[in-house]
Amino acid sequence: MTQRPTWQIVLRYILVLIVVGWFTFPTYWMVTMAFKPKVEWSTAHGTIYWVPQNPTLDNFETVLTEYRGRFFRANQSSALPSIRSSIIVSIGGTLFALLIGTLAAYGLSRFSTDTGELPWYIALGRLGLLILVLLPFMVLWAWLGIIRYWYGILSFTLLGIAVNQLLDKFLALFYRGPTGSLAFSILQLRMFPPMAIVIPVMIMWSAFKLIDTWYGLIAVYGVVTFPFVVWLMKSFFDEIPRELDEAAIVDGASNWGAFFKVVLPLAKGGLASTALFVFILNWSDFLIALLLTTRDWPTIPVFLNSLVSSEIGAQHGPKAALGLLAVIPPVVFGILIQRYLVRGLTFGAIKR
Amino acid sequence: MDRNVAIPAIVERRVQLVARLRRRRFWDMSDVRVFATSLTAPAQIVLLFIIMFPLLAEVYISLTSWTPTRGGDWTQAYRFWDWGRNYVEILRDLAFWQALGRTFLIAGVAVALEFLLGLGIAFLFLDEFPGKRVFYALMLVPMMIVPAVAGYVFWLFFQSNGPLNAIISLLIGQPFTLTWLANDVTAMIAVIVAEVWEWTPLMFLIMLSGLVGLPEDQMRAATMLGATSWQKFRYLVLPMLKPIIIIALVIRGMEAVKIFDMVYLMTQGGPAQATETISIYMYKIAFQQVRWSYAAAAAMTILVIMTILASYALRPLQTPQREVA
Repeated sequence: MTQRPTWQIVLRYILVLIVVGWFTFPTYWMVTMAFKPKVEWSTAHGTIYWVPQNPTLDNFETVLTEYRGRFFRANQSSALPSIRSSIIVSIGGTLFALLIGTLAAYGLSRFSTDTGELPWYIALGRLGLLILVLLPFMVLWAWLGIIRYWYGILSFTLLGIAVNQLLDKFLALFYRGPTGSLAFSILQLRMFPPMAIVIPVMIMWSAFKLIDTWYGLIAVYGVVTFPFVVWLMKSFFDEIPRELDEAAIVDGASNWGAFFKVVLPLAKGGLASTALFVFILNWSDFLIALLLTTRDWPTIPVFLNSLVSSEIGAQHGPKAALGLLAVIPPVVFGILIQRYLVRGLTFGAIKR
Repeated sequence: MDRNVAIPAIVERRVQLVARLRRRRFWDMSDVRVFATSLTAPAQIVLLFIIMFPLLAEVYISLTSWTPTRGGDWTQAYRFWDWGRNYVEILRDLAFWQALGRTFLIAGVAVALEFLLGLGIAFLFLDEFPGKRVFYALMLVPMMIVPAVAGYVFWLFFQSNGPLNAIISLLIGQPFTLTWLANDVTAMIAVIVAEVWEWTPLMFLIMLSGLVGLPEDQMRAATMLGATSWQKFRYLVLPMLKPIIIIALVIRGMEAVKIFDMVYLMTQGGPAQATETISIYMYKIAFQQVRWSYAAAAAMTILVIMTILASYALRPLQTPQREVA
């Protein structure tokens, strides 16, 4: 590289400082607010404290002290239950997503010609047919009054799966291209606003008594994030030459053996970064937890939103303290997997 | 099999027997097809389980005018059957189409700004300079901050006695008290600023990784031939970055359309409907106005629109760029 003139170097420094300053200022504001005593964080006096004058740990104490009473649990300011809930639910959701996602990714990478391409008129037409066939059954199930119970939902879902398979066979008589694509449905799932399917999911979850339970949330998180696992792990598996599995099989390993003993250990780094990445996604979720939890299992973001005390309005100091605590795991993990962040957020499409 | 080779009858019978015995095991993992199916089966089943019932329930509810406040639970919705009047209403509902338009406006403006800023900042970080690693790490922090927390911090930020107004007051030398979130235009700006703040770092990372990977000899050749910086950028850098740029825009666009957390925490879609995106719109219909059947119809409409968009938008992702950079 040629040496740049001094004014360019200086100019670059100024620009970098402005840019980085702007991008760190909101974070700085939150971090300092977490350490400010109440006089400084409450906006009542109209004075702005750029730097905490009397740094204190009071806010953390408010947030981290366990509430001992038995009543008014919704109004308490202790965040410990929500922290516990966030940890359990995010880890559980991550494991669930990894379990189904990694297997599917290996399948798609090695044994499938499914590229995820499906014209929208095929996708919509097939969906329309499915709805047309199943809607009378839905009404029938509802009329019989069984769809409100878990066995009604289960039997209906099984019927739906059967109809889905038959429809595939039926369509294959008329149309030679692919009528369904796992890879496409998986990507498509990521594109819908979760808000669009949340009403029926709430209905289903209340029938299964899964609302406001940790396993209910884990199931939803697993489903919502496994698309990332599939596409990300697929991109890692694609990089491992097929010849390796074949060699393992020639040497006497079974199909599963080749996967678990040869391919998976080679993709270990990818698996770890995928896990951390999915953990960050689960940890950051607000909408799903907002709608599917009420009293016992609100996660940190939901709890943060409700942290208002009746006397002094929003508790900015404790909120900022909790926000700071909530931000630590994603930032630490994010920096750990820096190399793979882009890859994760682009579904493995960009490899560097 | 080569038919010309005579196989002794006894051997052939043996082979057939073994084959039949093997075929008897339905769950034979050494059969590649069985193995492949069992790999993708859990994902398929989970996908169908999570989609089949909610989808049909949604269609069912959307064809009625049932809501929880009309009595009966949702299974009784057939009593309020009204042949898709909801859909006709959606087509004529100005608020729905406005919310849709607003969503695309916010997503479009935010993603465009993120892209321009990201590319610009990537150029700043292209060469080595002292302290680069620290600044680089600091640049990455916003995208890892939980959106709910970021939304809250930005809500504080834009209050009339918040830090932003204080900074502006310092700069212009007189008190500046604009209530950002109470005005139609400034509330929109605030939401976009928050969204841009959170996601520019991603664009920056993608663009930087693209720029770093550009072949250096071509750049050097261009310099020797006397190309100006602009020419190098326009005719060399931009075309080579194009695949990456498209992927980055698609990914960000598709996430930005889902925007909920930021808007919900900063403005709740207000003032009035000034920042109401499609997710907020559906949230309000379902949980504030409690019109579930209407919300279901809106959701189905969105589903159709998004499926059409998805099949075009996702195309660049399906043929992964192998080490473009």
